Amino acid sequence: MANRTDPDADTVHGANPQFLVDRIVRVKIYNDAYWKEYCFGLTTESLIDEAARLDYVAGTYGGRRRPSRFLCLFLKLLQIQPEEDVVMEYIKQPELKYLRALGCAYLRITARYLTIYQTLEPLFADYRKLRYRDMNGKMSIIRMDEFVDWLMREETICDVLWQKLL
Amino acid sequence: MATAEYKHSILWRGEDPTKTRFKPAYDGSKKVTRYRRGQAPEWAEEGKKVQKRQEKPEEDLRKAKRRRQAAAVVLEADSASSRLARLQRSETGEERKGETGTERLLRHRRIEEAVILEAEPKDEADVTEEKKEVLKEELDLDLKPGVAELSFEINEEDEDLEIRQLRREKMREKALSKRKIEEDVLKVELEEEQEEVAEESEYESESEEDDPRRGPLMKPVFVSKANRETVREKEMIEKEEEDARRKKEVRALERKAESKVLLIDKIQEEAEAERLAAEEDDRSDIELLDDDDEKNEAEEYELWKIRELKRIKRDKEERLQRQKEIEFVLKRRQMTDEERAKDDARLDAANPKRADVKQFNFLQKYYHRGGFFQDKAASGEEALYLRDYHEPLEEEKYDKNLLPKAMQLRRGEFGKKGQVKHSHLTDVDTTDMSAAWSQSSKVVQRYQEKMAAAKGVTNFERPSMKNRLQ
Repeated sequence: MANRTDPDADTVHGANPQFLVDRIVRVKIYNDAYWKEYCFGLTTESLIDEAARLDYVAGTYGGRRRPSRFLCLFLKLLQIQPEEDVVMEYIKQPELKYLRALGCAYLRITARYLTIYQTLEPLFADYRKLRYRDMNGKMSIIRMDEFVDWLMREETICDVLWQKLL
Repeated sequence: MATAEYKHSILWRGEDPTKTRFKPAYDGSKKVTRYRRGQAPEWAEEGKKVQKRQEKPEEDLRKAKRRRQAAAVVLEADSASSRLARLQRSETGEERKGETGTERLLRHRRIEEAVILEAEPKDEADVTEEKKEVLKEELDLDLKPGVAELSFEINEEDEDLEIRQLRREKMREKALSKRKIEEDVLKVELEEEQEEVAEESEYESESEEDDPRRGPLMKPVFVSKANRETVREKEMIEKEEEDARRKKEVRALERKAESKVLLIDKIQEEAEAERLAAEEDDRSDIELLDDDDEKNEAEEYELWKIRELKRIKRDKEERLQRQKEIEFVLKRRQMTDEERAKDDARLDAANPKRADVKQFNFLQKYYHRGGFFQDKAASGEEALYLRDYHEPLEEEKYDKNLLPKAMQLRRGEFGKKGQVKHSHLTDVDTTDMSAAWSQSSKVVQRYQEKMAAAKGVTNFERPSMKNRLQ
């Protein structure tokens, strides 16, 4: 019940937006403590507060592939499907870089290709540091422009399969 | 004679069973003895008969004697030996009127005097003299009338088995001699008394035959509880058991304590490890990596520039590549067939299709690299595909001809379900190598050369005048 997509939401790429995340990863997120406790009933505003508490960008990590908070909030976004202006606001705001990263990721997966190019390319100028956690759990530092570069080119980041851009 | 009836002819087919008289296989002359429970076999009864014959006359005599006696018994007076006489004497008790209790006890007490044996037999002479002396000492010490025999065994713990055995033998012999004396006495009584003779003698005669060694019984002598050997032994055993039990308990307690300590240590270790791990995971890592952007602005800017330039370069290259591809495709479409062939040759020369074929060892297993992801293999992206899978393993490097025939199989085949007898193709090659034409001898070679009109192929000499002339 709590994990259903917003009934008012549109389909993304012809399917339920939540299905953009693989089933296995999705189930892992649903069973996560952070998701159950904090991501329940999040709105676009409260999500900002949660994003402010983010510490690193990651997908699933560790031996048993634990989902990170970033990924949980990402799925939350897919579930509530905020409007495009809201997402743009997330990206434009300069203070919270992790929220910006989150917004970028969401935009990348849902928006039209033209919008993606137009929105993400200026972000190559942003060279702020982000903490990144790889699949083995090791922490490292990446830059925002690197992250955006990955979003544009790679197939899999943060355990989510992205469609290749045209 | 060649008739079928003649016994020794070749046409003889055996006796006609209807003609001959049937004789059973049972032979009545042989007697079969059956075993029956409770019944002694024949051969056992022979001895009995002999004994019976011996006993019979004695028994008859006795029985005869009994019959001769009258029902009412007439006692014959023989005051010296007869019990009755003794009884009569005691009843009167003339001599013993003023007797005290102790005097009476002394009277009743039968004093056994020590019977000194004659010369010791030769077996004991072999025993060491020390033991003999010890024995003798003991004997002297404890020699009291009536108390001598049994109290030897007080100090047994200290002495050897041999001494004990010696002592036992001595006692036995003493007892034997005593018994003999008593028996003589009894025999005398036997002959004189008649009505008791029948019963007693039978007993005695039987007992005589059964236990020749028992003789006169030893007088039981009282040994106080403190001195009793058996009691002592028992106590010792009990003590030992108790000690063992106590020790066990103590040890168990110790072990419990130890295990507790170990457990505590382990738990502490685990807790620490957990704590460390937990810390490491989230907090420490995050704190270690600094997220701050104000730190090295200049440096950061430089790094960013480098990255940005690289990205631009990469984009350009990709565009260029794409362009080239399109051009190539267009060009090739316009080529004629010969040109295409030339182009192919050029390309093949440039990119060798496959790496040099590697020579395999004897019975080396061929590993198929698989049909998928070969684009990655070609481009070199995936490091896994860059490996050489034709490299022999350790077990494939040595010569398998040294193994027994059954083990000459490829790796992973021996002893498993997939093991088959087929090892390699040349093993089942049945070509007859002994054929004249398949052998590589000189004759064959010469013949082949001739047939192929290759006479002087290997001849590098100049043609000389000498040969030509001849």
